[in-house]
Amino acid sequence: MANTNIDSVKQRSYDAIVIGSGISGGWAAKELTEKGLKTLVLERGRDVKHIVDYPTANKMPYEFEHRGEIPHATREANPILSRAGAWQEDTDHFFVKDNEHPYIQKKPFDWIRGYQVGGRSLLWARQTQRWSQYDFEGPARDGFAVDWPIRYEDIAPWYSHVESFAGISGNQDGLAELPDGEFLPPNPLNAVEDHFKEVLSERFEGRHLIAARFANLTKSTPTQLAQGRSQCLSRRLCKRGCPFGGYFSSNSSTLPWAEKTGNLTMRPHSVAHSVIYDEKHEKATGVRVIDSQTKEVTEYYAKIIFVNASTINTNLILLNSISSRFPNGMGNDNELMGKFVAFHNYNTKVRAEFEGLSEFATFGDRPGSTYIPRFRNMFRQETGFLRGYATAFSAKRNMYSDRSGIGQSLKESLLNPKLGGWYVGAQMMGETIPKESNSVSLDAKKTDTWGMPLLNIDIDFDENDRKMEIDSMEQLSEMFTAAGFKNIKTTQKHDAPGIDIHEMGGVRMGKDPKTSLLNEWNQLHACKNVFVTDGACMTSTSTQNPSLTYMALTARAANHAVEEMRKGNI
Amino acid sequence: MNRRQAIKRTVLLSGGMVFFKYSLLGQASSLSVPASATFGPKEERLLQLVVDTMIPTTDTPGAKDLGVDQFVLLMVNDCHSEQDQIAFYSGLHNLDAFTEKHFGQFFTLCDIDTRIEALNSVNKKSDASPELQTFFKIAKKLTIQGYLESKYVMTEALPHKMIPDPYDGYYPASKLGGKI
Repeated sequence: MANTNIDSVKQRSYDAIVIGSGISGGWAAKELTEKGLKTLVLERGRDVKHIVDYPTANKMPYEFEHRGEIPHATREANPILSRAGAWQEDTDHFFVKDNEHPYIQKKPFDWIRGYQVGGRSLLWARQTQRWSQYDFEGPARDGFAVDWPIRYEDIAPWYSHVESFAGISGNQDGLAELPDGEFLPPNPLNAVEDHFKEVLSERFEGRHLIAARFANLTKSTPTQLAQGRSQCLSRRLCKRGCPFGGYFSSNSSTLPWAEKTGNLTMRPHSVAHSVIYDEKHEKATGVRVIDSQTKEVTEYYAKIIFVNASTINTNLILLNSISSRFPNGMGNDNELMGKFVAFHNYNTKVRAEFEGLSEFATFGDRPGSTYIPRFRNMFRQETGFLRGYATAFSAKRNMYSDRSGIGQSLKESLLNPKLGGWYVGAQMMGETIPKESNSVSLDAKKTDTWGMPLLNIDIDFDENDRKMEIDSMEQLSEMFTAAGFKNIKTTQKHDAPGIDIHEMGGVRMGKDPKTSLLNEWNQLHACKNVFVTDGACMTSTSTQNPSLTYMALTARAANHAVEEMRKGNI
Repeated sequence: MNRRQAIKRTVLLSGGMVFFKYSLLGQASSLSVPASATFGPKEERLLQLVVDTMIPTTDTPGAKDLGVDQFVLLMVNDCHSEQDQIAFYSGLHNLDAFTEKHFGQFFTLCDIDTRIEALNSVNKKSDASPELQTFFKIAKKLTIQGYLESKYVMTEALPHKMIPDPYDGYYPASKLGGKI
């Protein structure tokens, strides 16, 4: 009997446990298994195998019963999810439905989730811009949040590391505010985008339009071919899962790579209940797991734990990891865990038409668009609001048909589409300031189907965000006018936060254990063998799409963890 | 009435298509219609005639041949609000009366030119009910969508490329019929 118990514990013991298999968990798994660590990856959702579990990937539009549309009753039953543009008939199976995993909205917050192996890495927008020194210095310079414990030079080699493996397209643009990297060929710009780029460079100092950096393979190098991934074919059906591995996801890249080492154990249907703390040895010893199907509770053990459950769930798991040493959640001595959550502000759009360059059109497709790095308050404070916004921009010329008629004339018009004029569109991507009042916390009474406490989410925009929204519309309109764009239309939405799907913070990094939860290596200050490298670790948000930074922080932390293990420090 | 509470009756829609292989749903299908709707063989024929009038059969299949009437019903029932559904079925039901009043006979008995004129006049005549206007708006939108996104159009008339051509941001507009 005693032997059976020992065997059972042994069978449930690994060198490392990674909670979550999304974009950062996949990287933790890859780095740790490559270094020889027997690694257990826990995923609360079902398995999604690359290619075989992409049921809609090759379907023609007419093969979808409702031509892509989600039925009305389903939309009505999912008010939160229905606000996510990517939720369509072809991607339905990758999104969590509102009633499956409820949470409490103290203020409206659209929490969009993908519970499956690969998580939301299957569904992401794939923009991958590096942070610069000005982003890491932001909180210290402008006096908000806490100072980041790292600087650009600490993460730069890890950006290179993840870019080379994932395959990122882009130009060497030579901009201090958006550092260059290891890039595959860029996505081409079109005639009007080049025109706008020129207008900015001639008439707007410090404003640059570049080919956005994207995690789509504009070329397949031996590095990606070795992963079984080939060149992106510009199908723009990424969110169905790509049978060519044309874009980076955990499913197409890091997880199969980790599996090849022979050191990976993947356990789907595993809800992480809490991280287990050993009071005597003063360290974490494993993870308590609820089987999502049987509800059976099992403990798994490891020397190091990576918590990559996605920002809000990482907060949930750590807050739920209660021990005598940590009555408020693991590592939460200062009671700041769950606080200072921030996100990105996508609330404004500016659109216009352009009559020039009518000799050109666009043909075919590309997996990218263009990007204007932040230009407000970049090198010094110069407006009435803190920080700024980057801008996504694209120009296109569509084919259209006159639909006013009825009968044979309508049929002929539909079958003979005509070339329309140029349209341009821009969208802000604003930094929000982390505040103590923007928080997530465990509900004292309510629990979910698995007995996990429900989360209270209490997050909102503030005055700074509204000022920035107005500025973005004014500045973009001015830039559009200078470029000769006509019929400029601005829109200012009042979306709830969350729909940006860039929630960050709650377990922030910092230098001082009194004011932060994680150190410069993403270790909990108070429990050094627990690492948090998903969005929860973010001290501030800057304006860049965050996934690339999560990947680089994860690879950096995982390599540090292995070194520290080998030195016997953890 | 709450749509989800509504007891739905199932109406078997017959196929009868000339170009059966192109039909959207591939086979005669059963569709659920809101209980409050008036929908029987008469309305079924009427809708077929409406989509056929909007996008007629020529030397290539028209909307009716492609089963677009079934697509319209499917989308109205599955993807529209209860309010839209009620207006749609009521408007459809009233089309004959409207046509009789202004053009002397039921829509189903008019010749093609009169049918076109009748549909065009839905937005012009002041006595066209809001329901009839909603019916027309939805039916036209879905007929165009069902036609353009039919297998026939997407594979033969205007072939849809799952893999697009390589991107050219300086493609000569003249090659696409654009003005220079």
